[in-house]
Amino acid sequence: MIPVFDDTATFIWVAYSLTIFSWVLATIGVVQRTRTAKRQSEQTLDKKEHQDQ
Amino acid sequence: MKSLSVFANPHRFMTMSKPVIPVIGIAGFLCVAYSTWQGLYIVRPELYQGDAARIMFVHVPMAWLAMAAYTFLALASFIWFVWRHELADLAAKSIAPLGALSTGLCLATGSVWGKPTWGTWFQWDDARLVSVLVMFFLYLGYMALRQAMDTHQRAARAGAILAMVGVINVPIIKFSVDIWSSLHQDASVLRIDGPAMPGEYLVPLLVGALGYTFIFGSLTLMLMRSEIYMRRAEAKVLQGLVEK
Repeated sequence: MIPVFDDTATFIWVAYSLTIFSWVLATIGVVQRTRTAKRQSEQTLDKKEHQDQ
Repeated sequence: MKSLSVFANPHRFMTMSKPVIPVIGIAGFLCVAYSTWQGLYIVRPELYQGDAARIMFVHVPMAWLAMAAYTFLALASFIWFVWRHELADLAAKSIAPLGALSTGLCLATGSVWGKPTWGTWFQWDDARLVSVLVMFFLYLGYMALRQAMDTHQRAARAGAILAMVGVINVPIIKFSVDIWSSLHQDASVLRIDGPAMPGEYLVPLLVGALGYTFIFGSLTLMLMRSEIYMRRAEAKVLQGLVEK
């Protein structure tokens, strides 16, 4: 197990936290982007169908 | 070529990718959780580097992923350039930001590992470090170049050329430690005579690399789907304008 309080432990925690939080944020961002794109696409298709009618 | 065309249909891609995304996403999360637990709590300190070697379990997967992602970016660009498969272009566009993230994290975690081990965050005359930095700029350049173009076709063409030219940097990164003297250690896993690492380290490292690759794949598929949604909406708007 890693030491809790020393310089090396700080470097280790920084590396792990940076990596994991970056991927978590990337996942949230991508999921949000996909949802928004899907909603916009559906709205556009609905609007087009409405105009056609 | 016929088998490639099967996957080039956006409608089929949307149907096939939907169940795959959560499966590989969850598998990736579990693999990363295992690797992180092993890296932080289970493996013993390394003989020469002590506890600092634990950073390997995040740094090395990021480095592999960064290089693999660029190779796939170039391959997808090549497929688009030769056969004009739009999905290949969407794949290239979706890989780029995630590849840049992996490369950025590889550089950041490498610096954090370098400081306690080498006594420096970065070394400007080190071929391995500088060639990875060049790859980071290639990713950023790829995204900026695409963004600067006014049509999808121009963006795809300019991006594909940059990606295909830039792939020369991948073998330079891989063999930089063999060709030039470097602070960076030699390859210890991907070697002709097998890994020079005990199983205690090797297994969590490979599982972690697999996990991050799964997550990368899952996010790439999601980005491709979002791009298809946006292009469908664009096409409908254009169709409406033409009809008017």
